[in-house]
Amino acid sequence: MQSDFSNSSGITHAFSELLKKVEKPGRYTGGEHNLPDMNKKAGVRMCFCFPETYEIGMSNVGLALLYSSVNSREDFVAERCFAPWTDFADAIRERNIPLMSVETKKPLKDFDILGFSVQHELIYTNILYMLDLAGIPFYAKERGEDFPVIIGGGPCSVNPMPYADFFDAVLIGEGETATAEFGELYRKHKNCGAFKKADFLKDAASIRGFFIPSLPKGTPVKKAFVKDFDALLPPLKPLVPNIEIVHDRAVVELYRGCRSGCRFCQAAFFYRPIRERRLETVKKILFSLIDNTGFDEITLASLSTSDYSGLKELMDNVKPVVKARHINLSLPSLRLDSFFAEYTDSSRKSSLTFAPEAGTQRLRDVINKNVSDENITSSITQAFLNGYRNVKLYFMIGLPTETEDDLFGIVEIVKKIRALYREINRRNDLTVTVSTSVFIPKPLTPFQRERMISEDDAAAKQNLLKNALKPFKGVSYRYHAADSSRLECVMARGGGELSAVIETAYKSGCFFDAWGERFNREKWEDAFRICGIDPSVYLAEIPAGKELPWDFIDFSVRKAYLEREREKAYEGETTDGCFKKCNFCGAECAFK
Amino acid sequence: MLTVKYKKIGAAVYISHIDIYRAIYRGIRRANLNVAYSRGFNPHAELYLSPPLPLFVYGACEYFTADTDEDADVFFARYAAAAHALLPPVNVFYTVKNPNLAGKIFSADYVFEMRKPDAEHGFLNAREKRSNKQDLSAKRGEQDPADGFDSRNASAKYDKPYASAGPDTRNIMAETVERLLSAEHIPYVNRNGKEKDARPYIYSAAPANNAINAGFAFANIHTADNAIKTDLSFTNISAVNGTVKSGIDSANPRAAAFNKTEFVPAITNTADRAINAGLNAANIYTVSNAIKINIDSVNLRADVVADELKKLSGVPVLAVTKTAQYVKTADGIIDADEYLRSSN
Repeated sequence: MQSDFSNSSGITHAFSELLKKVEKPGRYTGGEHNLPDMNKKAGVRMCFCFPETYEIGMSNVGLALLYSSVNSREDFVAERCFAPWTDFADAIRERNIPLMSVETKKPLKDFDILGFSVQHELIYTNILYMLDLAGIPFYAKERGEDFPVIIGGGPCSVNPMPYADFFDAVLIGEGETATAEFGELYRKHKNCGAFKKADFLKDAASIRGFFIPSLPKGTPVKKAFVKDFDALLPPLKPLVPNIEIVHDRAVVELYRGCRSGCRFCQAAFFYRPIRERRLETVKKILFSLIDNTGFDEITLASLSTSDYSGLKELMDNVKPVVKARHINLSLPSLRLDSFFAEYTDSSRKSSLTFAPEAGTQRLRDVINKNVSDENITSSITQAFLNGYRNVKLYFMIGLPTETEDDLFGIVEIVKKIRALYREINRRNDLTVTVSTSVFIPKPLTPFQRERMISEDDAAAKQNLLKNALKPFKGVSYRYHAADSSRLECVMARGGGELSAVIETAYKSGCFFDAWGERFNREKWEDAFRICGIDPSVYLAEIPAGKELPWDFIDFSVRKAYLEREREKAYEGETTDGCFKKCNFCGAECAFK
Repeated sequence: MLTVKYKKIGAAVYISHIDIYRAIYRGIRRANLNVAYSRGFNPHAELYLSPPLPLFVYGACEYFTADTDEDADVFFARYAAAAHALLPPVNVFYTVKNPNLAGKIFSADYVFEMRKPDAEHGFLNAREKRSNKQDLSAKRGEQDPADGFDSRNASAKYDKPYASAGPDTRNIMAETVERLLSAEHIPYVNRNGKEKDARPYIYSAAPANNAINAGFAFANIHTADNAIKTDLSFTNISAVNGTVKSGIDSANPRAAAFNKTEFVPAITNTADRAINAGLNAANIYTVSNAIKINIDSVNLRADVVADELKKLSGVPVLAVTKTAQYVKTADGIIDADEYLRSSN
C-alpha cells in the first residue's frame, strides 16, 4: 500500500519520522507542481542553496529563473536547498544526517556544484549555517577536491569581499547566462577525466562576471548581465509551492535597470543597462503563467513600472483576460503620477503606498528623488477620488544634508494629505501610516561614501517625529531600532577582513540575523572585538581617495559619474532621469 | 454539482488541509474550468472538501465538490490534465445538490502498514529486542532497519530459516488485532489535553489480507534433502499491485523460473507457484504486515490508533492510508462512492 502511495522521491521512513517533529514539514519535502524531472540523465548536478527559509526562498524570482534555466539544459539537473528552521537543524544534527536537497534528499556535499544566492547583508551567517549543517568546511581554501565547487551570487555580489573567502567563485551581476557558461565549462573539465578544481577555476576566471577570490586581483572583473533580456524567458511552468509562502504569486519582469537615478538606490545602477521585454513577450509569459500555475495573483515587476514603455497597451491587452480568469494583477513600484489609478485593480482598494523618501523638496532634490510637491498633491487627490482610504508613506531619516526642517517636512506632508482627504471625502476616517527607515549608504551609489547616522541621532530623530505626529488622529508612525541596520551597513561596505567576524559571530550562535527577534547585538559586538575590528570605521564617512573594497569591479557605470552625482547632491542640483536623453553614466543602454 | 474523488499520495501527506484546498483550487484554475466563485474582495473558488485528512496519512478516497455547469467527463478530463501530480483524480460523480461529505461522513477504513519483518529477527529487530527503543541514526552505508528488509545484504548475513523467527512473525498482526479489539478501554490524551477513550470509536479490525499488502519472506531455502541452497539464500517476494516480483538472482536457473511478473489474485497462488519452482514448502508462508481498521473518523484520529498499534505490537507503523469513507443513511452505512452515485 505504501508503495502505491509513497512515490515521492527520497522520503524514507526515518525522514518521515523526523518530519513529524518539525513545524511546517512541507518546507523540506518537495513534490511541488511543475517539478522538473529529477531522474533525467545528467553529468552535472547542481544545488541552489538559498540561505533563508523555504517560504522566503520560494518567493524569490532569481532563484526560480536560475533553477528552471539549469534544469532545461541537457545533461544538467538542479535541485534546491533552503536554510532549515532550527527545529529541523537540531533534529538532523542529533541524527548525524547532513543537510540535504529538497528534491532527492541528497546531501549537499555530494553535488558537483553548489550555488548560493546572497540576497542581503544580514544573510552571511546563514551561509555558514548551511555549510555547517552540510558538513562542509567554511573556507574555500580548506576544501579539497572531495567537496563541490561552491559559488555565490545575487544582489550582494556588488561587494562580495566580506564573504568571498567562503566561496570558490563569486558571480557578480546577473546570473542567468553566466551560470550556463560556468556549468558548461565545468562539464568540459569533468568529462576530460582528472578534474582539478584549481585548473577549472583558473579557466572560469575568464567568464565575464566571475571573480575567483583565490587568484590575485588583476584586471577589473566586469559585471555580468543578460544582453538579450527579451530572449531570456523565465520559467513558463515555474514551481507552484505546496505550502503557503511569502509571495504566493507569479511574477513577470517587465524590464531591468531604472532610468530615475535616485542617488541612494543601488539596484538602479546595478541592473543597468536598461533592457525592456517586448510587449508580445510579456503577454506570452503572462498567459503561460495563468495556464500553468493557477496562481490568483500575478505581479508585473520592475524597479519603476510606470516607466515601462508599453504599459498602457499591455494593460489594455491583458485586463480582459485577467478579469475572466479571476486574477488580481499587482503593479508595485508605480510612480504616483496622474496615470497610476488606471493601472490598479478597481475592485481591490487596500492601501496606497507612496515613497517620497524625504520631507522637503530641497532634500528630495539632494537625493534626486524626482517627486515634487505638486506630484504629491495631484496623485494623492487621484487616489482619494478613486476610493483609497489608507495611505502608507515611506521616508528615510539620516540622509546626507538632512536637518530638522526636513523632518518637519514629513509632518507637513501628512497634514496636507489629511486636509485633501477631508476636502474630497468630507470625512475623517483616513488612516495614514508613516514609516521611516535609517539611511544606509550602499556601494555603487553616489552616496556610497556617506556616513550612516549614529544610534543616538537616529533615536533623536525618531522621537522628534513620534512627538510631532502624535496629535494626529488616524496617523501611526512605524520605525525600528537601528541595530541590525548598522550591521547591514558594515557588511555592505567592509572588506575581506570581515570573514573572520562572520565566522566568529556564527560560531557564537548568530544566524537568521534578519529575523528581528533573533538578531543578537551583544554577540556581534563581541565578534568584532574578538577579531580586533572596529565596526564604526565602516559606518563613518569614507574619505575621498580611500580605496573601496568593490573598486576592483567594473560595473559599467563609471566611478566618475557617481562622484559627480555626489557633488551635485551637495549643490542641491538634480539630474533628470534618462528618459529622453542619456546622462552618460557608462552603462551604454541601447539608446535610439 | 460535481464531486471529484482523488488520491493523496507522496509528499502530499505533508500538506495541511487549507493548502490542499489551495492546490486543488489552482488545478481547477489551470484547467480554466468554470466553477462558482465567492464574492467580495478576495474571490476564490467555492469548493467543498471531504473531512480533513490528518498530516502524514495517505488517502485513497478524498473528495471535493464544485458548483459547476460543466459536463462531468469534460470536467474530469480537463482537471486531470492540470491537477497536482500528488493529488490525482480517480473518478467524478454528478449530484444535483452539494452532497456535503464534510458533514455526512461517519466512519472510514484505514490500513496501517507496519514495518516489514526481516529474516533474522522477524518484526522486532535486534536493537528493539534489547531496548525496545528505536534508534534512527543511520551510519553511512548501513541500512536503516526501519526501512524494512534490504535483500542486498541478506545472503551474507542471514543464515537462519525464516520459520525460526517464530510464530510471532506469522501471527503478530492477528494477535495485535485481537488485543486491540479485546481491550475495554483505550485511554489517550487529545491535543487539548483532555483524556479520552478511543475504544468506542473503533468498529472493526482485521489483518489486511489482500495481495497488495502481504509480504513473503524466505531465507536460506532448504533443498528436499535439507541442504542449504546458498544461491537462493535470500528471497524477498512482495506482491505489489497484484503482480509478483522476485529478488532472486536470475543467474540461477532455478530462480529464473521464478523471475517473472505475473498477476496473482491471491496469496496462496503465489505460495503454490513458489513450491512449483522447487522451493521447500516447509519454509514458505505468508506474512501480513498490515491491519485494516474501521473507525469513527469524526471522533477519532488515525494517529491515535497508530500509536496504540505500535504499543500493542511493538512494531512501528510505517504508513497509514485511508482507503474508504462511509456515510450513514436511512438504509445503513454505505460507501461514499455509492452514496454519491445514489443521491439524486
